[in-house]
Amino acid sequence: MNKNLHKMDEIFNAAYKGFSENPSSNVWDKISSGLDKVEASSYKRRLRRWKQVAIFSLLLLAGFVLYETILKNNPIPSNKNESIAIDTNERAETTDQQGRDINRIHSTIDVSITAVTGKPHTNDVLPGHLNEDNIKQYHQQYKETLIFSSAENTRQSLEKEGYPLITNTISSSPERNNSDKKAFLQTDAQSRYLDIIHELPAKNNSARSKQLLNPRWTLSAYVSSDRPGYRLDKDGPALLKIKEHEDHQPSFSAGILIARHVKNRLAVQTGLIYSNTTIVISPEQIYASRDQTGKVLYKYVVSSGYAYVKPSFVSAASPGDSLTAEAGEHVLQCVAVPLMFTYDLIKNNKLIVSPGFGVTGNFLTSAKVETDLEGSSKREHVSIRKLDGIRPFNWSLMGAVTLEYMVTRRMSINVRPFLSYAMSPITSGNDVETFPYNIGIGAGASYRF
Amino acid sequence: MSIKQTYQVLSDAQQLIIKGCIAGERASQQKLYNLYARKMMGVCLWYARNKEEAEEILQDGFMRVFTYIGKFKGEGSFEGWIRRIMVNAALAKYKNRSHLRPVVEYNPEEHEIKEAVSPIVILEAKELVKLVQELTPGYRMVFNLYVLEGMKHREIAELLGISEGTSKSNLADSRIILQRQIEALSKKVASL
Repeated sequence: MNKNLHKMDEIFNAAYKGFSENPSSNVWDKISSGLDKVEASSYKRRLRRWKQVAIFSLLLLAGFVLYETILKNNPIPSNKNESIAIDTNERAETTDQQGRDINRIHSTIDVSITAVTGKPHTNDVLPGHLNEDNIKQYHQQYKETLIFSSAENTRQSLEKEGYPLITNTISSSPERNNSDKKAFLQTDAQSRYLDIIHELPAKNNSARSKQLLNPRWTLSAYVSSDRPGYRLDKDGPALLKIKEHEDHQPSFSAGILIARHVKNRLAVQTGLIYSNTTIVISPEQIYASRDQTGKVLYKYVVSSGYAYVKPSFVSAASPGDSLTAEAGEHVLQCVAVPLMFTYDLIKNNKLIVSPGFGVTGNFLTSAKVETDLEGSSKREHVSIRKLDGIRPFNWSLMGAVTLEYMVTRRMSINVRPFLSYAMSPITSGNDVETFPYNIGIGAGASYRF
Repeated sequence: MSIKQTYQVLSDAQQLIIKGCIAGERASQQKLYNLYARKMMGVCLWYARNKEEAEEILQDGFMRVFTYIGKFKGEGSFEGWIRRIMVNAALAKYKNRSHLRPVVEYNPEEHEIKEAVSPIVILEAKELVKLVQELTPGYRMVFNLYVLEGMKHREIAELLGISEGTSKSNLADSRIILQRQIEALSKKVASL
């Protein structure tokens, strides 16, 4: 028996090892489409991970910026530093040759000028409270390179490096005497520079002086014309139906944004953006099915959710019954809170170009659908105020470029093209997953203070 | 360890294909499929009831291959690795469908094969596959794993979640069934 068994096994085994057959040609197509699905889900996972990384990075960056702006700009005085020196200077009563209040000028300079040079690399040596661009404009205007330093060691090191100093160092130490101040004011270049400073209001307040020399806040308001759209996910008949029947209309948004300059060119921006999106829905058949409570109603599915409806002319419906939903309108209203970082890429007298990037938290405030239902030669208007399967909050990534034209030193008008793209769907439990996006161009005005 | 070092036994072309598959390149995946689909279809046919089922197993198997190809460490042949994946895909399919036979204790007396099996020599591989396909899924799995894959009853029992006795019983039953079918088939062939 064993011999027979072995022989039988061997023959089957030999047949197994040598056996091959061509599969049908469509097998590869199925594998390929399966791989597409795997890739799509893997892409989604990666995207989710990147979203988390992006949000975490932004929070980290925001924390860093807060630390930089609040803690570093308000150090605890440990010795007689510049602020103390200013107070000393402010007490002196001296006027220059034109009768200007030297103390005020000096106090402004002491606060404002730390180390400002025509060469950018020194910016990171000492943070200039003075608006560097103003100085640069001045340099360009008078063809001079200016170096100011309130710190003796910085001045010395800059001198060693060969920077042409046109001023004496304004010492911030209490030892500075009035003759030093007078000497400082005697050159034309200095006077010109001081003229700039002199335009400032006369309040002897260091914080105020800093603020006036370098506006930190920008308040903007804009309205924009938008072209919204969405990406639909979740394979199924609903997806095709929605794609076929829904059509986005030109929409609008409006916003108030406030930006805080944390560095010379870097700003953090936030605010409120209201948007109104209108989607036109072409006529379609809707079908009766059981809702969550077991009632048989007609299910009307749109990209952002669904609702069960029953017109009064239908006494009872059975699952599968249909009605015609005539052309409808779906309106979504949303308030978004952005957190963006902007960078002044181009910044001169008249023009500022600031690209920005960040996230927005979107709060859905209203989702309405208006349509007419028709069946059995009867028609009824239906207004849906509450959709199921909709999320009240979602995240978007937002990118914008603000082009500002300075009308005055503080006022500007701006144009703001932008793009936002949802990172999380606005639906939950709907027949489709909807990721809205919005491309728009806004126009508005800004005020710096 | 580089790809080249890992797959020293493979040709350069195969290494390139594997590298492409790890990177998720569809062209490389198709090349790999073209290279092994015929052989693996042969494997799947032994484990399936018919060609359609075999193609389903083949499809699942290749999906697993492309998903886990990065985990192939070069231990053993690449073809052997793919073959094991196909067998696992077949097992997963049958486990999901719970087609395995209920526990039946093995009794050697009942399962004795008394006649010679020489007629199978004259049968082609395709006919043998057909005979195996006609076995019930439980018998087919045990027979294939024992005879074709060379596994022990203990391993089969563990893999299929059955007792060793059931594995032995299924094997013996499947042998008897196959032997009878072979005899019938060989008589038919002889009468022609």
